[in-house]
Amino acid sequence: MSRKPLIYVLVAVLAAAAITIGVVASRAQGSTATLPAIAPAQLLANMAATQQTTKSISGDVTWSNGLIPGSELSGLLSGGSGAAPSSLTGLLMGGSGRLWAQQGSGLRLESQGSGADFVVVAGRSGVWSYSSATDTATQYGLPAGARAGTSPSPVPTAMDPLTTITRTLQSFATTGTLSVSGQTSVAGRQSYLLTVTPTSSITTLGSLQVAVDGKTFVPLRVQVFARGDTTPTLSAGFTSVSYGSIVANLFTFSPPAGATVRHSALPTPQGLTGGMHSQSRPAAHGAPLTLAQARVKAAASGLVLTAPAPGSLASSLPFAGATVMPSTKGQGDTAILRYGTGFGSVVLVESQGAAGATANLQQTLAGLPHGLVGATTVAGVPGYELSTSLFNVVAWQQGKVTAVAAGMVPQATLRAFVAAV
Amino acid sequence: MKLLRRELTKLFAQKRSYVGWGGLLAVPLLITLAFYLNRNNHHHDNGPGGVISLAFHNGILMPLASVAMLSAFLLPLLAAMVGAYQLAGESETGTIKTWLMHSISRGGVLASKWGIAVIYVVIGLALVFVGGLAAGALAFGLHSQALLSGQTASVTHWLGLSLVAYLYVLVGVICVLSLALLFATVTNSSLSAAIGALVVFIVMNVLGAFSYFDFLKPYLFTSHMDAWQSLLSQPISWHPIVTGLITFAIYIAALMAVAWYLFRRKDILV
Repeated sequence: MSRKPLIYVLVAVLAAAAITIGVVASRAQGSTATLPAIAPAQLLANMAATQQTTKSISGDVTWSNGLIPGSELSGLLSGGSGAAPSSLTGLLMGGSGRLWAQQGSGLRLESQGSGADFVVVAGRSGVWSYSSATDTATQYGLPAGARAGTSPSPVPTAMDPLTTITRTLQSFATTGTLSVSGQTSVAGRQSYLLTVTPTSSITTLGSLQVAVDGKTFVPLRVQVFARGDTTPTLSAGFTSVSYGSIVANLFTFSPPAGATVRHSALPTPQGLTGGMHSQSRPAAHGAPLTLAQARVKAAASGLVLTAPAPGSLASSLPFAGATVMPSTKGQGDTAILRYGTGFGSVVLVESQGAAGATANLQQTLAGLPHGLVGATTVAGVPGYELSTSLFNVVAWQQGKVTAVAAGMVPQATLRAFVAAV
Repeated sequence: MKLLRRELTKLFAQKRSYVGWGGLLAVPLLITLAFYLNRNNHHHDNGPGGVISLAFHNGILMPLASVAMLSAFLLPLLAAMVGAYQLAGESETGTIKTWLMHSISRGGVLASKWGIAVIYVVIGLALVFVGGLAAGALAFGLHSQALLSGQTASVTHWLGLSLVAYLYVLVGVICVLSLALLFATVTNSSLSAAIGALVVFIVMNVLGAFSYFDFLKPYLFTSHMDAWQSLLSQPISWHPIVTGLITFAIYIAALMAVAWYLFRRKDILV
């Protein structure tokens, strides 16, 4: 007697649950085009114009990094929700949290882990981070030229993600094909999918996809796909969003009583990605030099450049210009040689090894997650190799010169390049 | 109401009630003791982490640290046991037949059983709260404390937050309790019912831990258990808390409806 009804009830409950899940899932999948068609150029223009109209944006954000192996598992080990990062570089591992940004006020990012937060506040009180797990507040010194007093915004423009995304997209017009590849719903907002497909045939970058709010033209999600991948390698975006005004006190920070207070230099994007970033803005250092000019300029400070012989390189990686940067404090000259075009280019950075440069390099590499960095040999000297699905880096030390070759190209291509140096 | 009062008398007469409460009370005292004995060691980075390690220097955080530790296992375990025992235990001792011979509705019996189990958990949580606060105050004193997001909050503010967090955890634990009560209407063994509820609880936890099953997460009550922690960041994001409460309410209502349906038709022969 008691058996049968139980089975019926269980079946009914399971069926109801399955239907509910099915309906909700199919609704989430539904991405019918309800926005008017738009040309990529018009979409970019609207995005640029939105910076005058959209002053505030806030919401829940999530970001993931498929470049670092094992970050998927960290959530499992800590029982569901991952631990919060306790430093700026920890944010690179991926996570979720909340973001507030308001023009003229500042930016606040809160990364939430299990029972701990990591907060970054950039506003009139400077740039601060606070880790609740270690009860440590860190104040970051701004790089020269981006001080709070000199710019109209209290936040350096480099830290305004929305402007950065729009500007970066505009700069891709020459190295990739822009298209509006569809519409989707991001953070509950019907959005255009703006896709950049690189023109280079040798790059590991498959495409870059930005979801742009169809009404406000604010970029809500950025995804980077490696060539041949259908799941994004890098992804960051809102899961819920609001454009309402934000109370200003969210953008101020004062360290809580008893917290450890540290002062640190702000890690710039260049600092985090090494020479990778410099290829995108060659104009910053004047017109590029020829290889011969670079050799002469570098030799003046004692830096002997080694470069691949013109004939030994693949045709897809022709010499594309060089920059020699004068020595900064404690560091010798640095030469940046560029090869190839667009996303398929390789940069070779050579710098006069200051005392301890090799030790610094080794320390940086040792700090990276296990499995990312491997040992290799370049022209008989030991070197290091960092390999990910999106970019490859080889670093080695030749005499007093530290050389780093990097590019968004397959590992085999970069190895062939390095072998020619 | 009369049924409930009778149940209450039974609850306080049973030795097993005190064992459970004792275990609950021991946890905040042990956490405080461990922190107190380790107070001169400032390298506490290797501790359990999260809210628990925050309580290192401040007694005001002890109630939250305790409940964070308890809500993972001991609290659901006790809730499953007390929920299961209420019905199946009576079957085991044979007293349920005497019960049902009186002119009372079976729905009323079920409701009073559910009510008494909830009261048991409420008393347990109150013991943890008061015990943690008292032990914490004794060991470290009560001071204002920074929220997870870095703003400083007063002792009263923290007390309020802790109270809301406890209420939230209570509702979450009632899900396990209701699950155990449902199983207890099917089986006559309180042990089977309690274990059944715990198995479901653990399976849900495991499902929630794999990103492959992320699409299931919103529908599992276990993945909402820690949502109270969003109280600790300013401005408070109420969304996860409200979602969690709605999920809990749906689970409790559904489980109790099925339990009521089954219990009404159950043959009590033993």
